[in-house]
Amino acid sequence: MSRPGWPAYLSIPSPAGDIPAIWRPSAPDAAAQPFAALFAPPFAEEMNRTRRLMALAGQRLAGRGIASLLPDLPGTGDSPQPFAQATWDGWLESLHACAAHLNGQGLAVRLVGIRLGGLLAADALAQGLAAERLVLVDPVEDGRLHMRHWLRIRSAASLEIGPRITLSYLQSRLEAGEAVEIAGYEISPQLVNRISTLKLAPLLDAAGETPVTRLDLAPPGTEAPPAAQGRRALAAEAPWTSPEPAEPVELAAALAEMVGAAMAEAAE
Amino acid sequence: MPMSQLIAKSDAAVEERLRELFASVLGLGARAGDLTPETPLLGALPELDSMAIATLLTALEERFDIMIDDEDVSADIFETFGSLSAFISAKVAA
Repeated sequence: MSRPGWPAYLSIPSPAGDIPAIWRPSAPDAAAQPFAALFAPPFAEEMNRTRRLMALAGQRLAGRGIASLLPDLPGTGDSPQPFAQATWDGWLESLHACAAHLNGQGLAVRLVGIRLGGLLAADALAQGLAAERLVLVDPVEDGRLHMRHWLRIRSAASLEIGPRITLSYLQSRLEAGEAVEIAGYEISPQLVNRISTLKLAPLLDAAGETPVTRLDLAPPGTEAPPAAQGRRALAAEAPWTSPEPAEPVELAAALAEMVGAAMAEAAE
Repeated sequence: MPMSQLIAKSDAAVEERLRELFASVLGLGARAGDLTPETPLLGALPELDSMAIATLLTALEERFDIMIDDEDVSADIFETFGSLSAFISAKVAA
């Protein structure tokens, strides 16, 4: 079913297999912009918890005349591939294929990288993906620490319902070449090892000229630090960690604004 | 961790900083003000799921400038707000 301004399901061919994606065209009553937002979603369960934010941001963008594309990276969502077989290179190829699809529609790309998606988007830029802009949302800075955080989640889950699974036990399983299951996702040692080698700062350096803006979160109810040098902060709950997330309305609005605003304003 | 260390008294200043952390990291907001040493946590507070515990542990390390070894983490620590506060107080004093 296709109606003007309504999201549509797409299947985008890529070397990593067909990528299911949600395509949200610009709203019929808005002046269509010559660029589209391409989302690079967070990792595993964080992605599920961020889905609502990405949908709300997509609606906001559509209202500003900006189309958006939200892919289910290999191993996630409607992708036919099991998560255990997902690879970092497959995810990079998928982002490239999505960007090529947008370019084929005559649209330039503005990348939106959330959490681990920020690291992925930065790596894609470093490997030659052409984008007008990268908007980072609470990006993962150090892949090794992020992977440790996920192992800790599995360890924490065993506190309430035993037997106790420690971080060092999980690390030994990975070193033995076995996958570990965390929050319902089977994570391969290859994926953990690859992500553990990545850091945001060198990737952004290698990404070259693409302008980068960044949105961070401050605790709700506090005063967010003032914006400076392309960085903004918003006092709001982080939907990707909360089991009971509030509707992330302000975050979606800030995100859409940073994607759509002229560069000088976006950096303010 | 031996029980003697858990019974070690929880520091009031640590408790106050811990309330702030619960307000922001777990999104409890003003409800964090109601946390007392007797408040049960694990299995009682819906916000404290595995992802939140991992986030909380990392935030505790950053905020209190301590290292929390995974082998030290047990269900006992998260039994009540007081037991967690006592664990952190002992870490800070160490």
